[in-house]
Amino acid sequence: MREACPSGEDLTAYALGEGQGPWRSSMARHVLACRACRGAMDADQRLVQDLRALGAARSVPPASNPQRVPAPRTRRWLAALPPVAAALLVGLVLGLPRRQAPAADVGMVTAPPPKAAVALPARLQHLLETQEPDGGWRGDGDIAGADGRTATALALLAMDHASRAEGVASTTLDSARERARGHLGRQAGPEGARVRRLPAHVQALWLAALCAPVREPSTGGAHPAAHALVDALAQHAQGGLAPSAVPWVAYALERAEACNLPGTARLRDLLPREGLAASTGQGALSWPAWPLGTTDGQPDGVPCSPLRTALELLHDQPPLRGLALGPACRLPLLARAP
Amino acid sequence: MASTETPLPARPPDDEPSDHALLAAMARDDSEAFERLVQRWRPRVVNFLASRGADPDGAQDCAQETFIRIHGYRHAYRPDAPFTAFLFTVARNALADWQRSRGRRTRHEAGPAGLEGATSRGPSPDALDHLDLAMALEGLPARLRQVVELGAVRGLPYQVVATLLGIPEGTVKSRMHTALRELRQRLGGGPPHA
Repeated sequence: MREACPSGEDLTAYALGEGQGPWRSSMARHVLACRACRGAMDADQRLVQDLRALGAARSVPPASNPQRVPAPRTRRWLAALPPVAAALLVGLVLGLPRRQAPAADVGMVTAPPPKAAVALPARLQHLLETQEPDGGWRGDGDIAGADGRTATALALLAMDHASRAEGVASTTLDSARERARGHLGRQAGPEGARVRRLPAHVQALWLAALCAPVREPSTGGAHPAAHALVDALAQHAQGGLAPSAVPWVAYALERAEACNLPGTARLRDLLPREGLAASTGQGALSWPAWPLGTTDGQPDGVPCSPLRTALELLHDQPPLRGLALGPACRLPLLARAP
Repeated sequence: MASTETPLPARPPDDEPSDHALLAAMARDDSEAFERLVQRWRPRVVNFLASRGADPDGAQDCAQETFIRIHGYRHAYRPDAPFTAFLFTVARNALADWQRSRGRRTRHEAGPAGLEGATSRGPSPDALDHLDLAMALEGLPARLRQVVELGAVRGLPYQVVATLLGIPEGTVKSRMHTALRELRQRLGGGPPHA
């Protein structure tokens, strides 16, 4: 370990999810950069995951409803009845109209207790840990420049996509996505005034990120700035879109339609057909200035940046399909698939 | 119903927050509120459990389990009935679960706690998966095992573990680290960090 490495106790605490934002962010940065600490933290995390699984495998009755009626007494006298009579009695009881559950009368619990923290897949965890306090992510010398306008949108899309694909439900994840959408919304300015100055492909990326599919009740729906983005993209489209931007616009359009955003029909009419074909995986995409990152030198297998992690998670999505990620943290970050 | 068996509530002094206020603070993840609630109610809960047949150790265990469950309910709690009805219902349930668990152990002479789900047909695949870990956990000294059970297996925050065990949070932190290192050694892996 390095001289400035945190103590083993701190690493264990970090692995267990202890600590607050600034401390966790600083730990995340150190762990990403230090192989020894990362190994130690990973070992702790694996063991903790096994311990949680052990707890789940135990037959400890869940701490669910404190109002549940103790069963043994009922079962004792029911067991004394002949089986047919018992079955008839059970059928009769089940057929009676049910009274409202008594929880509201004497109980205080209307929902099961929150589950223990979900063990997130490593790449989602990486995105969570590298999220800035303002809700955004910073690119590191890549297309995002210093303002994170692209890294944030890509990371948000990646979280949406990965959480659905992997069936991960987590309040931590939902909260991170809300904060990220809030960050993008603030970047867009009042009524989306600032988005008009963005290039079309960035507008499309933001629009995709700000539209969460409505089937996710906690994060569904479009952010208010999404309306301004649709208008801005329609203006771009009227003047002719760059071929590289078309698949992104098509992708954004699909997400905007999925969240019932009004005004999308006009934009769809303005899109060239070949762009739509490309968006379904038939064509390749070249971002106008895809990143030549500055992360060379990181050991393989180490998450080198939130942008890279987001791209890894999104690699099968239409706008990125046809492109392959380069070797981990080596230049170029993206390469066209063979 | 339950009211005849529920101890009378201890009215907090006027300058002390009410139980409902403490629960509301707990819902905001104020761990100090949890500590105050435990301090206020633990002795009565232990006495209540002992009066219902729990032995001294069992009463302590069930009281701990009661407060773990109360902590788990902090976001779902609705203050429209006396807190005591809620608290002692949870305590009764914890005691019933403990008694059932103890009966099962006696009947089946179950092995490590992780295999409580084992039946006469043999342990479930899940239980077998965790056999080594369960045995290693059972072999830890009690002071370390308690911390792992609460902090890692149950997923409680350090501060809550500290409150439940009546030890400083820093001690929880160091014991957890030591415990995980010992567990790894018992499982055949060396300590990756000191």
